[in-house]
Amino acid sequence: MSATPGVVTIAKIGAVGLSTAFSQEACSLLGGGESSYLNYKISANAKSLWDPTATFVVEVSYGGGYTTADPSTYTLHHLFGVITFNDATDALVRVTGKYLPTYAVTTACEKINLRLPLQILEATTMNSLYAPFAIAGRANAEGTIDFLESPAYDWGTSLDVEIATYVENATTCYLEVNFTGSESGDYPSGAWRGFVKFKDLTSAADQNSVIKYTVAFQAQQYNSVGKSFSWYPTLVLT
Amino acid sequence: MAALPANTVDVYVETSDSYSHLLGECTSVKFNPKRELLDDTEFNDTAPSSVAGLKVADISMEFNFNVSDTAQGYLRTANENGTAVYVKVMLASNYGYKCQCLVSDISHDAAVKDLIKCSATLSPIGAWSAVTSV
Repeated sequence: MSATPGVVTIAKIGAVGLSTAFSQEACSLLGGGESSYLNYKISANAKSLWDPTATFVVEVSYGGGYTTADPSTYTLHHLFGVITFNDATDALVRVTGKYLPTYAVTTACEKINLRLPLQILEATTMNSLYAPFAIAGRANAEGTIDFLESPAYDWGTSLDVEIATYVENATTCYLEVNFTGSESGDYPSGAWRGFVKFKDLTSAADQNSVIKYTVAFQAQQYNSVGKSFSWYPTLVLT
Repeated sequence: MAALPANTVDVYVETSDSYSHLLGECTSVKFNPKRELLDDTEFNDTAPSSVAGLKVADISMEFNFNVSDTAQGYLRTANENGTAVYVKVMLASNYGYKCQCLVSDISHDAAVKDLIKCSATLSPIGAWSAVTSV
């Protein structure tokens, strides 16, 4: 497969709404390169950003009614609404918990830089004569997004005012970067999602161009719980 | 003999020491192996003297984003989880370097007029070594 042209990259920016309960939502087996029957994703995409501070109950059915799965047998990926079982689980799966409603305000992205610096802690000891040693520290994500003002997102309607408000209030938002360009509403394996805060908004206007904006973002943990960002699990679990 | 063109270089990434996955879409790589020299020249020496120290390396690469490339997936996973990968840079079929590393930085640049460009910086967590085969 050849490289993905940047022209199809879609960035979605949005506020995170009030945590909302859902009950016994059906999950679908994920396709892709991972081992079969390990990963299940909540079928309702609108409910796929899970509140990492909430309690979740996963139930499985092998044909004779649902039973609650032992939490030690699976891992939750809150940023994508995915359940990863430790062992192959060929069952119907449903989940109860809370999701964070998202309100995408733009796909008018022109350019994006996504940087994922991982802190490296030097740990070489005195006797390590021939080999350096280091351990991984804090993961981070930061970058900028350039986008155009358009009639659909004119100042005073939604996009610009909202982002300016996010910057002003240091609001925790979500950011999704879809590297393979699907606009179907599903998340292909190239998707990256994170909780972020926007910290710098620049607008530039001249008479020969549409108004352009650049906004800088910084990863932010949601209520001090869970991962602040992740790749779609089909990549993570390769 | 004339110098080999740079496009004969292959980069392999693996989560274990087996090096089976070629890094696809790779456009540039730097593997700078170094040996630190610890100066032990004494006052009355008539010539400088040193002893061998750490074997460190600066490693970085650039590639076009490809979601289906297994080696790129290893880099992304290692960066997200803080886990190590093995990197082997083969400058020729029978000559190269390998090292175990953390992926300290990945940058993605996407624009409407270009492919998605990625760069990765790796931090060694062990000594590099010269190798003679993949």
